[in-house]
Amino acid sequence: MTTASRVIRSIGGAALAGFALVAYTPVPNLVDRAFSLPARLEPAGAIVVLAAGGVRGDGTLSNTSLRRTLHGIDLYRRGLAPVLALSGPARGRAPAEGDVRSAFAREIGVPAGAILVETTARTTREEAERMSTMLRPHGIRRVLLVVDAEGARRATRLFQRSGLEPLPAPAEDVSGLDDSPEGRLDLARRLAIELFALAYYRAAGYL
Amino acid sequence: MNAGFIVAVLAVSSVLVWALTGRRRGDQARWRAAGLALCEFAGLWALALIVDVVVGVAVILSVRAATSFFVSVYVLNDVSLAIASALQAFVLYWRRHSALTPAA
Repeated sequence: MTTASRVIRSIGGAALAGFALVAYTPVPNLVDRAFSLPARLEPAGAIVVLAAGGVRGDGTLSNTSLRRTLHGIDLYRRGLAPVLALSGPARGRAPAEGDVRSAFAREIGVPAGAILVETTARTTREEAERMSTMLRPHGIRRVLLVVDAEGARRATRLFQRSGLEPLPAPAEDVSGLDDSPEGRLDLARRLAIELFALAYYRAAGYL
Repeated sequence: MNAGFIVAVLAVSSVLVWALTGRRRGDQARWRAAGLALCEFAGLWALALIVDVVVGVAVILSVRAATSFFVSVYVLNDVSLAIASALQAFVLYWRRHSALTPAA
């Protein structure tokens, strides 16, 4: 057996053990619990709903985007903030996610005057900068930040750096309590993506 | 509950296959070889996936830096990438072993 074979088999053995650990034990749930920020649902100047998943080919919101939008609308209806700020750019020929979210929110009763839309930011960092530019002239600093549970840590830091005071209000796309193997694999994938994003943002000096 | 049930199903089907394929002389060595082959394939799959993701991220960041065109890194968050990298790993695995044993 060559050294290369030995190394490849060791990597494979580790990958198989990792798969079993992630899919069939609560390890991803425990890591998710430790990594995610708890919700701080307190009165604020605005509810900021970050982009997620965009708009599908038929012009409707993706499942993730719809879940976040509904969570933002729910917070608005609970009276936690007088302004609902919706984010999301256009991709390809599809309409901008922020515009589709805004139309949806108006359809189910949120007054047009309470909605602000941002459709130019393409990354979380750009969203933090542009939301800050849009909200601060209205005297708004404290915001409820609707983002997925795994991304809340990075998004919160970016919004703090942009001069806002974010309160995490996570909308979970995959429940951290999901104990099915498929749910755990999805949770692990999201955590891996977020850890990569966090490392990239740190390396680039964004955090 | 779900995880326990699936692990139980896998255990039962594995024992059934082991029982049906018989326990001939030298079988233990063949099972061991099969286990090592599985580890090798899984290792090649992991490496292929890592290379695919690294190349994807590098291309996306280069496109962003060199042009005004924006590509989201999230396009790599696609299950087809994992499936395609398994196919790449299979080709690599086959190539490694066809090089070691003469072609039929």
